[in-house]
Amino acid sequence: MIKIDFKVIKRPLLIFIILIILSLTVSYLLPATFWGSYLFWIILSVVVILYGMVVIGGLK
Amino acid sequence: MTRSSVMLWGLFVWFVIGCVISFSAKRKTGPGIAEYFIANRTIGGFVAAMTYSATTYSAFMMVGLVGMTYSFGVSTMGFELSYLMGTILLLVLFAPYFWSISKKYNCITPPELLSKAYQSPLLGGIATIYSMLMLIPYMSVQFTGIGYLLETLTGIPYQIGALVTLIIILFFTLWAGMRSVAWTDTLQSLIMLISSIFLLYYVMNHFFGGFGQYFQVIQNEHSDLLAANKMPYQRFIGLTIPWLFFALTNPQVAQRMFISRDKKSLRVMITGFAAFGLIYTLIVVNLGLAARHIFPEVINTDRITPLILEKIPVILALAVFLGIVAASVSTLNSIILTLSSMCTVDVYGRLFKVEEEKKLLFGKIMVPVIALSAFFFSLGQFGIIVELSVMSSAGLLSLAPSYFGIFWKKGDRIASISSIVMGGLATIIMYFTGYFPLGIWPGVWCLILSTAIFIVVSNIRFSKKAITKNQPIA
Repeated sequence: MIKIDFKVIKRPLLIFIILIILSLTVSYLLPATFWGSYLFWIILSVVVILYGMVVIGGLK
Repeated sequence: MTRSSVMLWGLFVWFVIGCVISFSAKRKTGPGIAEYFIANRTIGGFVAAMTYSATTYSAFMMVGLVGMTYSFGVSTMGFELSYLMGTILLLVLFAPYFWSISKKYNCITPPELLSKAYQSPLLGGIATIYSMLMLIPYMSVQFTGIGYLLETLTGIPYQIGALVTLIIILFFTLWAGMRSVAWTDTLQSLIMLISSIFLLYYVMNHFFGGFGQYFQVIQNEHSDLLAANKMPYQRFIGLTIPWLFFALTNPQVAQRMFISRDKKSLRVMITGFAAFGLIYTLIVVNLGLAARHIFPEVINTDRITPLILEKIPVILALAVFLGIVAASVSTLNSIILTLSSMCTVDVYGRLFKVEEEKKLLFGKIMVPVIALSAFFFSLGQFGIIVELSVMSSAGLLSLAPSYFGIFWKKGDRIASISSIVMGGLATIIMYFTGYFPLGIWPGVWCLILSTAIFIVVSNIRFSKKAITKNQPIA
């Protein structure tokens, strides 16, 4: 069987899960303005993209 | 020249350009099934990013999501951006390993990767048949979308429009397989992105007098659209959860993890897709918000985009119309090619030990067979098709634990097969009976059930293996 060690994805997986949980929860607490959930979701997406670039950039 | 004849001529020119690209791809295509189905893993980063984007984003974006934003405001953006974040997560974590494994073990399809990872050809066959069942309704919705759009904008009867779509897809797919699909997808994704940028720019300037005024108008007159809870939370979660795992569970996108030339191209693919996804989502969502102000009382929200197209200059309308057709075609031809590769490798290739040429011929025959199945399905009752397509995105979730299981030493083939079958069946039953326990959507239940089954069965079998191993030999 082909198995990959879970340790290699453990840390980024945890950080990503936290970011996605934020996306599914925090927005609902923010005010109904463009400075509220609208901007929050955009910033969070940018953070995820940048973090993703850092992770794949570090892979051999 | 009338507006509808401009649309038809534009469609014809676009089709001819697509055929030229497809024919050029054929000239570069070598022999063998790896070449036909995954372009022998030689696709460069930019083309890989564009085909990934065009395959992921269908006509749902410019038609369905604009309408959804019109109704539910920024919560729709939350759903779509959460999906984008989930896809980036899965690509970043899985793609480098799946690319390496697929290369090392010569895997052509995602079910083949599962088969080899769990040493079970049966698992690959089950994943293939299950994916076929789930994806044919989803494909037929794409036919339906173009059929209705052509009928609205050009007056062509719905059935003829769907037939035209079928012919276009066969031309773009059959000739050169993945290379043709990837190259034409690059054209489609550029049309999708550029036409939508121009549309947003025009809408903001023509109807609002600029972006600044647009933000003010929406803030002052439609602030309800800026509240995240405009969409009920259970609906939001029910929609978002299945889409979070789309990159793994939908084989047409999962297969794109195998096509890159090298790891650098793979990185470019992921970064390019992320940028495309963010820009395209923001454009579509802002069009939906703007439409609420331009057309305040529309009941059938799928009509929003055709209404916008009627109010803009004909050349821009043509570009957007082609962008929508391109989105559908690029999603369809990718699904058809992937499903035909799965039928060839994971079913036909497992059942019959035949040489590569015969497998390739079988794969090429499966392309029109699958395309025709979806086409005929699209001629059926529309309501049922939509229901089935919603079910498909939820049902495919039962494949997710098996992919995650590759990272778990206890992950087992029987557990994988059980989780796919039981999770899938439970989802189908929930959709057909309309019974959603605790009011939770079937997609969420599917994920919970299939994960639980996978973990429990894997643990039981791992313990049994450990006991057998430790038993003294009499």
